Parts: sequence; structure tokens; C-alpha cells
Amino acid sequence: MLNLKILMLTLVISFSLLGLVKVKVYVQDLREEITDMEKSKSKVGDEIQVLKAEWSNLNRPERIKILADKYLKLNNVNTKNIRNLDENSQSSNLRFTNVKNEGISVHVNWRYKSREVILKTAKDR
Amino acid sequence: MGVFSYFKNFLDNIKFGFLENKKHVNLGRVYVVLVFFIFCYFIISLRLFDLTILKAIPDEQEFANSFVDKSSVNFDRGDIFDRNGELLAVNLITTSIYANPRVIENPKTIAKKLAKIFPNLEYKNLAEKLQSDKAFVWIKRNISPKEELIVNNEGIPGIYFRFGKRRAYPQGALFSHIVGYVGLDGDGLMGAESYFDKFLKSRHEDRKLQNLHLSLEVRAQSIVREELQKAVKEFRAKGAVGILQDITNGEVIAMVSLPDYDPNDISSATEHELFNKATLGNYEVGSVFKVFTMAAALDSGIVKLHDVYDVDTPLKSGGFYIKDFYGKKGWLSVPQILMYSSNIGIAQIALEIGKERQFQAIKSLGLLSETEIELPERAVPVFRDISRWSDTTSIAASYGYGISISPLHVSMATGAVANGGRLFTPTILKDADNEYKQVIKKSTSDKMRKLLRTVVRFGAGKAAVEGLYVGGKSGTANKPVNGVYSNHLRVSSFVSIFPSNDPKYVLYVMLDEPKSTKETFGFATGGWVAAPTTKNIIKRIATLFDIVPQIKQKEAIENSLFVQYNPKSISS
Repeated sequence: MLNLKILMLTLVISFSLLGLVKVKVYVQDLREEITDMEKSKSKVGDEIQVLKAEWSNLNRPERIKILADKYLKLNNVNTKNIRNLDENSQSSNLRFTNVKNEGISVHVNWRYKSREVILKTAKDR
Repeated sequence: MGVFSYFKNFLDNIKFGFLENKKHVNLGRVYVVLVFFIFCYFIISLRLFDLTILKAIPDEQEFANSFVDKSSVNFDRGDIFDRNGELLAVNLITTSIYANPRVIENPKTIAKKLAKIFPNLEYKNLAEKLQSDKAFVWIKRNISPKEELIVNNEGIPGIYFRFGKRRAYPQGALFSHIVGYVGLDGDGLMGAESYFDKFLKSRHEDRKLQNLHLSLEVRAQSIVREELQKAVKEFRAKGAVGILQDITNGEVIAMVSLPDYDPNDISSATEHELFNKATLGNYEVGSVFKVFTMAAALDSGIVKLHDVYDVDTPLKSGGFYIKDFYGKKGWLSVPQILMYSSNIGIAQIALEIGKERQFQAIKSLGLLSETEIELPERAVPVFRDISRWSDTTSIAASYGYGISISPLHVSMATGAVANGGRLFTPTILKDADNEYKQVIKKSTSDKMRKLLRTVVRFGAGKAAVEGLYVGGKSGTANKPVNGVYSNHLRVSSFVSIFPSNDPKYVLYVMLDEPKSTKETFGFATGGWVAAPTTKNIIKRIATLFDIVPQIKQKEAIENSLFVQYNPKSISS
């Protein structure tokens, strides 16, 4: 009977060891898969960077201008092409910054300064 | 002994069939073999236990590092963007090849092969490298995918690839002096790459925190560069500078220094190209400086808008005669002094306010110290200390001689003069909560805006753009050559603000050593060469920044900016 018991025990231990190894190998495979995925993720990330750089390179204003000149034959946008809709309404905001409107007709008292006086003051200082 | 006897017992009970008839076999030997195998299994079980239970989870860090090339860590720099998120600098994957000379058996043949693949590598050099007793030598860094394929197909033993990263600048030369560049080892060597080196290299969980957002704008930068290039070509200038700055917060929107270089190909850049004239160049700016002298004079209260000065004859000072370029006889009002850029007039104004006041005003406008722009290339102004100022120094300074400053100084100080007297630190960072110093009175600033507008409206009309009410001042300075001012080498510039009724931007355009053309009637002064470029830039840029021409209220706006400037017409 002892033989059978020992045999059974050996079998149980062997099978559980075998199972353990199998699980271990399975987990190892999964880990490898994760590593591969991480790798390809970072690779794709780098590729996206390359694409972004390329996109930005292709969209250089300099290049767009050359292409526009070639295919669109349009002039540069000019201030003459732009108008403010608000300009036509009464509520338009002139955005004056507290400037007193002197107008052209305002009388001005000119103050003439003699050169001699200026030079003398500078000398005396 | 217990174990042994147990096994003996166990074995005794097993019927060794094949030993049945061979009584003479020594069972002791069988035991020895048996014990040996049991021992082996025991060891294997222990190892199994160790691997499956104890070391089931590998070291996370080690795991994470297993596919990162440690040599390229330096290149994990943050990206650099313009104010709208356009890429200015980015890291790209590259391949480099290296060799392990210790495992290379016939270095000479391999060197020959490599020299054939890479024509710019010398055979002699390669052979020397491959014959050394090192375990690692670089063959070539950052090779092209095509070269990588060829080397791979050759399958040379002892030659390996290393994948790394390198910095790329998709905008090419456009931002060369602002963004700068990095060296082979990933250290920033110039511009923002150098100034923000630590920041760009800092490691964060979220990579976005490493990114740098500049205040500059790709389209504006491109327009400024394009127009400057045209001007450089037209006037055969040695170089040019264009700076566009938001005067409400000090942010630099565009900054170009020509000639520039392609940061993707640093090895072919010359020293002249690498030099950032806009922030590192020191120039005597000439009449542009009258803006600052005038602001100081008006701010002191000694000089009023309607003062009139005698400019009939040249002014004598310290053995020199101060003359006017466009000589006007008789008397000139304050606005006229700026309009006709009268040296005689501004010299008297400087003498009137006194050198102490003049010096202090220039100083408080930030013109006598380094700018605090976030670039390592910053000019230290060159000037004479106030203790050594004579009247002649004061006069020369009043129209921009004897003080050398960078173009950025000019745009910064003009911004302060025009925006209510607030001096902002110039910055290349977007949304940097910039602080300001009140350096002149708001009322002075209002007068200065009117004066600058008057200059463009009735004087330097070449910078005028309809509906944008550009204000500005030209400047032409002869360059000193071996201590003597040259008659034909000059720095011609134009500083402008727009729109004058509510200034948002300051633009400074400077041409280094422009030559006159037939179209400019032999003139190469700021008003002739820099003002038209200013106009072209403003015309194209205003629409980008939502500055809409105000045509309907033209009269109201012009009236609000008008100053009486002609004493003759009124008094006579």
C-alpha cells in the first residue's frame, strides 16, 4: 500500500509541478506580448512624431506660399480686403485711448525758444 | 540514516526485473546512481520553485528599461511650439552605426567597405578606428534609412546599429536664432534650446509638461522674414533685423535676423549666419533714438509740444558742427523736429533738459542694461558713464550716436513710449504673466503717439498703410570703421507702432549696410529702405492679428491724433 501511496504522491507532485511550469510559461508569453506591444507602442509614437514633423514641414508658410502662387494665383491678403462690420453701426467702438480731440482749427500758442538762452543754460548747469 | 534505509526498503520492494537473474549485480552502485538522480531532481524542483513562485514578477524598472536605448536619454527633450501649437522643434528616431574592433578580424577590408558606403568617411580614419583595441567606436551617427539598408545587407560582423533620437526643426531656418539648436549629445547650444535646456530635459510623467510654448507666430515670422529677404536683396544689404512685439504685454511675435541658418544642418552655417543681430548685435541706431530723447523731454515738462527751435544754422559743440541731413532753414516746432529728423533741433532739446535727466530717462527706458529676453545671446549696451558725459556726448546721444544697443532694445523702449509708459520685459514665452514698470507718464505717451503718427502722416509716408494709422520714426546711422564714421556704410532702420490710436504692436525693421538703388534716388536711409519694408510687413500682418482697418472713422481718428506742427502757417 505504501508503494501506491508514494506513487500517487509522486504523480500529484509531478502533475502540479507540470501545471505550474505551464502557467509560468503562459505568463511568460503574455509578458513577452506586453513587451512587444510596449515596443510597438513606442515605435508608433515615434512614427507619429515623424509624421507630425513632416506635416509641419509641409505646412511651412514659405512652401504654402509657393504652392498658392503656383496653383491659386491669388494676391496676398491686404488690409483693403478686410472690413469691420461693426464699423457701420453707431455703437462702434473707436478704441480711442483718452485722446483729446484737438481738431485742426484749434489755436496754438507757439513758444519760440532762443538758441542762445538754451546754450547759456547748458553752459551754466 | 533514516532516509537511506527508507530508500533501501523502497528499492528492496521493487522488483528489478532486469536484475532478477543477475544476483551478482551490486545493488549499492544502483543506489548511488539513484541517489544522484534524486538529487538532480531535487535541484531542478528548487530552481522551478524559485523561478515560478519567488521570481514570478520581474523587476518592473528593469522590465521597462529593457527596450529603451539609454544613450538617447538626452534626446528625450520636450518639443517646442509656436503660439498656435505649430511644431518648431521635435525629436526624431535615427540610426547610428558603431563597431566593436575587438571582434573584427580584418579591419582593413571592412574599412574599405565602409568607406565605399559612406563617401564622406575617410578610409584611413576608419581603418585606424577599427584597428584600435576599444570595444566601442562610432562609425557614423544619424545615417539615412538607405545607408542603414546597405550596411544591413552587407552583414559585416562587428558592426552594429544603435537607434537613437535626434532633434529636428521642421520649420528649417525660419526660427533659427530663436529656437537655436542642440549639439550631437543633445545639449542645447543656442537660443531657446540652450536657455531652456534644463526645462526641456526635465522628466515628467506627462511628457507635455516638458514642452515649451513660445510667443512667436509661424506666419508672422514667415512674413517678416520674407519681406526682409526682399529688402536685403533689393538694397544689397549685409543683413537685416525685424522684430514684431506685442506692446500690451512684451511678447515677441516675430524676430528675424538675416542672414540665418538651417538648424538641421549646423555644420554648414557660418559665424555670420549664427550671429543673432536682433538680440546680440549692438548698433548705434541714429535718429530712431530721437523718439526716446523726445519722450524724455516731454516727460520732464521742460519741453512742450508747441515749442519752436532755431535750426537755421549748424550747431557748434566741442569743435564739431551738428548739421541736418535734410536741412531746413529757420525755425522748427517739436513735431517738425521729429518729422524732418532735425539733429540741430533735438540737440537743443537735449541741452535744454540737461544730461542728467537725459541719461536717467534713457536708463529707465531699459536702454542701458541687458534685455531680459529668454535667450543666452543678449547684448550689453555700450555707452559712456554719466560722469564722463560732455555736452557733445549729450548731443550725440540725443540723435542716437555714442550709445550702442540691440534692435530688441529699440522695440522694447518704443513699446513703452507708445503704450502709456509701461515698460514690459520682452519675452519669447506665451502667456508669461509679464510685469511692467511705469517709466514715463501716460500723458507723455499720448503725446508721443501723436508725434509718431504725425511723422508718418506728414513726413515718412512710405510706411503708411490705409486704415491702420501707422506711427513711427526712421533712423540712419553711419557705421564706425576703425574708429571713424564711414560715409557709405550705414545702419538704416524704421521703428513703428500700429494702430496709433490704440497701439497693439511695435515693429522694428533694420537693414545693415544697405546700398541705394536707382529707385531710391541714391538714398539708403531708413526712410527710403526700411519704411517700405515696414509698410509691406504691416499690410500683411495686421490681418493675421485681427487688426481691422478703420476707414469710416478715418477723420475722427486722424483728428484725435493730430498735432499742430506748422508754426508758420498759424502765426503768419
